[in-house]
Amino acid sequence: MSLVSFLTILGMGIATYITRASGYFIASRFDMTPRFKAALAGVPVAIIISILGPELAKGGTAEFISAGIVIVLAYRKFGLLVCLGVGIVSINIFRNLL
Amino acid sequence: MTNLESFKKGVIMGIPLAIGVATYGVVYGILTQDVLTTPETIMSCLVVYAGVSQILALDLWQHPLPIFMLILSTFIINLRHMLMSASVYPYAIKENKWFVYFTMFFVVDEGWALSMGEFPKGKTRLGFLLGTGVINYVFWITATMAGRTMGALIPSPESIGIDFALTAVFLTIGASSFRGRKDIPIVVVALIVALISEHYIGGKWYILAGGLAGSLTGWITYEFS
Repeated sequence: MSLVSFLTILGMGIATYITRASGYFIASRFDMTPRFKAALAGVPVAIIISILGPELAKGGTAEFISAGIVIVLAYRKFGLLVCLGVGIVSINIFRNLL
Repeated sequence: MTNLESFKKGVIMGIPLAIGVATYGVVYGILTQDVLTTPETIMSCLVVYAGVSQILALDLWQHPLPIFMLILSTFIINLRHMLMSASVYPYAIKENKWFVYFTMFFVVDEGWALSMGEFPKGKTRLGFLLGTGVINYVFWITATMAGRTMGALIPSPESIGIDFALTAVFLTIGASSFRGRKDIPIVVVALIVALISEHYIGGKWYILAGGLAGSLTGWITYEFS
């Protein structure tokens, strides 16, 4: 492993630990407003949609249809392996068909 | 109940959830193939130990590494932990604070949710949260390495649509963390900002731009949700 990789992963680890420890630290000294909490809770969805949007915009019909199927399954609370498996099968089918 | 007893209870009750987490570990392990080296994969699991951000990092992991963006993105995607660790505070007032800070390293979504069901009953102590975190930790690294080994058996990923796997994983995480109507403005704003900044800024900065814009929208629309 290169020094750059090592330091990058270490930095990611420290950044993650800060997010885990800071909530306790802040709560022991201040009150977090419900509004602040609501904003924090919205972060994962916002990040994930930002990753997916541009990626899917570049894809074709096969990617679109497969993405739709995966979303419906995931929203219906099927597990990761089911969603992933169906997604891969579907991308193969539609890439060959279309 | 002592902290040691609580810890054991956390380990046992954490097993079913850790098995669920392990499925993500296997998938993560497969995805690390051709992106990370084995020591990098192991170190990520041991030091970062936060699945979604580790998967996100794979998307950004191209040499020369965008170091600053990797660290900043990891920080932002993991900001939700702040909420969890803050909500543990009322149950940790009487604990030794170094023990609390040690336990906080192991806070993950699943273990935290389990602990929040257990703590209000009043008997279990903070060790329970540590127990759920430690069992998850062990399953996470083991499953990742298993996935990595299995991944080596899959020939030419592109030809069987594995290139879509990372997208499918993100879709699954996104759709299952979608909280209904109040998330709609967040999703719309994040999507628009991400698309625009991807077009005009380039690189992977659009992920952060969209993420921040979406979170800010959550802040602004708070009264209406």
